[in-house]
Amino acid sequence: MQKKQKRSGIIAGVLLPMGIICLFALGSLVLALYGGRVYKSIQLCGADEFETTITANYLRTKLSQNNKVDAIWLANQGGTQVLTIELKTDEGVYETRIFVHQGQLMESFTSQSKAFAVEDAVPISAVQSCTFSILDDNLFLAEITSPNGAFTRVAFALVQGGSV
Amino acid sequence: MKNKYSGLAFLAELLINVAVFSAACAILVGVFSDASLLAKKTTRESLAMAELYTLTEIIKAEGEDALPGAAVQADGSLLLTYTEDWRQSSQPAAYTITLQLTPTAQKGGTLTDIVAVANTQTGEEICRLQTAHYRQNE
Repeated sequence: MQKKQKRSGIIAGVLLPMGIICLFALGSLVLALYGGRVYKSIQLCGADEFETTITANYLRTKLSQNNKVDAIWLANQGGTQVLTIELKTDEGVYETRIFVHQGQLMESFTSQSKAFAVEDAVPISAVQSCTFSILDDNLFLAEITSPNGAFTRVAFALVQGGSV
Repeated sequence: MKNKYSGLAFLAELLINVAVFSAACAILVGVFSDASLLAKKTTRESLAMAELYTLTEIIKAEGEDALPGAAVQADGSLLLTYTEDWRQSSQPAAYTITLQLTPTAQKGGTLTDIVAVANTQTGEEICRLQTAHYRQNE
């Protein structure tokens, strides 16, 4: 009888609290893992959205600032598609050249007389791909794919004179 | 007798601990799920709005005839369908965009009111864009 009481005392006083502590630890671990996964997915969503939004808004802003006749065109520089935006000033003619190089959307701002060089450009945002086209001389279209695969299109109505 | 009460108190304390821990876990799981859903919803809204801007710019530049894959609905609106990653598709759609164009003749041209609405497959509205475009008579 005493032996039986001692055994139930061990179960109630040692094993039960230990079991509950183990359960708490396991629960905390599962929660932490789930939280980590959620955080990672939120970060991926945010990064994806950030890159595509930055690229799309950057292109829209650049085009709306320079939406003049014959100021925007597409060129091919050594196999690289380059969106060129011309800016005429009193001191000369400058060109903003926007292109994709090694997973980055790049921009260079140089004198028109200067030859195209990747080294002159600064990175704007990370992209998997970004293709440009100009339809009927008045509609600029860009198709942007973010590094994680999010896809977005940018269309911009040009004043007549954009060309390929 | 005293031993019996202390045993019961201990058991009650354990049960309270389990209850508090379970409640905390449930709240945390709820918060995590909400955060995940909110992030997805924000991304969806952002991409939907970008597509609405794109469509209105296409209409502005080229007119509604320049929208390939747009199906004319009974009420005259245009319906475009999209996949989960916002690529235009004729397959069963994850998202749809409805464009309602209302042209009004003006003295020197036509003023077109454009209402673009992005919806989920279940019909839940994601976002809407309302704008107008004036085209001068040639």
